Amino acid sequence: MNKINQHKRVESKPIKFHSLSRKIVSQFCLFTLFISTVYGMFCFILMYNIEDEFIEREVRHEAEYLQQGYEQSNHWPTPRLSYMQLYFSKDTLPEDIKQRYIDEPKRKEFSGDNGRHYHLLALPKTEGTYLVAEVSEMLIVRPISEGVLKFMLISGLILVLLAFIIAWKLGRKTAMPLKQLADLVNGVAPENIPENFAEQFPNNEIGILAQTLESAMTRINQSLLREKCFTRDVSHELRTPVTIIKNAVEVYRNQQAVNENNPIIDRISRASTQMEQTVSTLLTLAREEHTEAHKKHIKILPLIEQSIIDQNHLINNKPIQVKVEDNCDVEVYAQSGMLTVLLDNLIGNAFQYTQEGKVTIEMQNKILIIADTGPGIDSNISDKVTDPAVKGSQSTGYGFGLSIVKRLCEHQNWSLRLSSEQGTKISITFE
Amino acid sequence: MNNQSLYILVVEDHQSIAQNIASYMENKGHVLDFSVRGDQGLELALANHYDLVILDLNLPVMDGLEVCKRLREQASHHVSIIMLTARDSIDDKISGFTTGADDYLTKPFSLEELEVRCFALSRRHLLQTNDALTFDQLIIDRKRQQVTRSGKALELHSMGYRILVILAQAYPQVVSRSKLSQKLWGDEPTESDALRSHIYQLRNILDKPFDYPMIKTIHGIGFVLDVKTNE
Repeated sequence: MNKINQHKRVESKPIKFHSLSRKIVSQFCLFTLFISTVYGMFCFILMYNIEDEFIEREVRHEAEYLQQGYEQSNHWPTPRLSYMQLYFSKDTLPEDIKQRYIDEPKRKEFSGDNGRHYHLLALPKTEGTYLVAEVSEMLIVRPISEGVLKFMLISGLILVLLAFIIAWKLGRKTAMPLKQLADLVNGVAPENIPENFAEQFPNNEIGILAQTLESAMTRINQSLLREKCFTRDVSHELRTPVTIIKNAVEVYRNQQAVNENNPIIDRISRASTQMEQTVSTLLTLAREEHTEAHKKHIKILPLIEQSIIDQNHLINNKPIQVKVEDNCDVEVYAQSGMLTVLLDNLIGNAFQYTQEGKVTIEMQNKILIIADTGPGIDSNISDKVTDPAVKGSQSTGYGFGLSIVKRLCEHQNWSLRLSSEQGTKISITFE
Repeated sequence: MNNQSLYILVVEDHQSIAQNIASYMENKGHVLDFSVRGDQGLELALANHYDLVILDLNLPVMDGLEVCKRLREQASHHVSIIMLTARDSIDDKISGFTTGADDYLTKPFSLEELEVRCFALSRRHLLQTNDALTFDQLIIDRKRQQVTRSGKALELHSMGYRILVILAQAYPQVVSRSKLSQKLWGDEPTESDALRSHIYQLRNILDKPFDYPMIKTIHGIGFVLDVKTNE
């Protein structure tokens, strides 16, 4: 005993796409912001460095003058500039910088309390003598730093805005045609895409893409059309010989005595009936497979009944009971031709491969269930029974029929479930 | 079923199909003329008084639709036309009917059905003179709404009569329950038992007193008139 469940259902989860132009704009703006910040920082560093250099030079200059004065008169003159002062010991240094200078004797610049700012120079020729300049009054950058910062912020913002505009335009120029192209081909059936759509796109990479897409679409359309025409033509061509065979059988039977059964003629008759059905299946597929048109709510019960009547010859006097449950009186949203093909194949298979017993057809919610008491499907092929051209060992048409059913279900987004456990049970879930 | 002999023109370029039609129809006592080209067919149809023309659509020289159109324009009397074609889309059917065809059969068709349709059409044409449908022992006179079997008049209820006429018109096709109730009551749903009881009543009158039942049930979902042919 084996139980096989085949459940094929395309669950398409939409992939989230982000906009290309938005990405371009945001990257551009971020980059501009980064560059502006870096350059702003450089500016400040440069300004502070130049200022320091100026003050330092002043202090060195004064130190030289004081040193000379000391060497000439052996006592220290008063510094010429009021903000400079000589200290002759570390301990006498102003309180707010003393400790720090002791900690870091190589440091030249200190900021003190209450906004004071010191530059310190240890006189090189006289140990323990320090020239200290309290330069808070001299600073140029400090008072304007706030203004400069504001200016930089504003100009940075302006730059970002400029970048935004440029990026937006650029994004529009590159991404808009792409977006148009995407909108044009996204989710549209190949036959509904306008011809020569590539012409409206600029002559750059997008144009190349559009052209490639267009020619690919054209090829797809052509091959779809070819397939459709081929199926249609072949079916039409086959109809005439099938008619001839079928009518010849009728003529033969008509000319014979009523009760005389000729098994050879019966075989020919059955084969031609099967061929007739295959031809009409192919035609329906050719006509309806690639279109969404003609879909409507249809009552399934009349189609089931018609299909049973049409497939009745397959029962062929076998002791089979056919049961159509009352719950089949419902509507299904589908193309009636497709539904007919589906029912003909499934019911035909059930009739043909069941030797005795029962064939049950029922609808549970939106699930069509066709169950028979036939031999079931071979365990070693049941999991791939819906692949094209796979047939059971005693089958004459199972492979073809079921692969059509499978193909049809894929097209219509119906899910097909097959369980083979003392008979075959096939369930189709309509969307 | 009917003992009427029809005078039929078959315009068909496939010889085998024409031969099959010939063997079958001539065996049934009908008289047939044949043509393999559209223009010849038109000429013959205009020259003789046929009961009916069986016309293929794909014909050399002049195609079936054109023959049909010209025949309607030029013929002095109405001749019934059945079109035979391998094309079966709704559009093809519409274009067939708009050019003046009376009926439309798609290949592959059955010869039995072709004959039945020929009778139906010739009746349609002779509507005033012959309204009786004859099936072995059964005669349905649609003009007087009377049914006799083996010479005995049957007292049918109106619903029973309608069911019988529907089955007779569809013969030899099987009519499904859905189709039958759709024809009787339209799309308004009725109780599922209503049809069952009407069929039961019809059988009591039509089948019970006689030697074999004429209404046959197919798996409880379809009905067909079962006619014993006395060949």
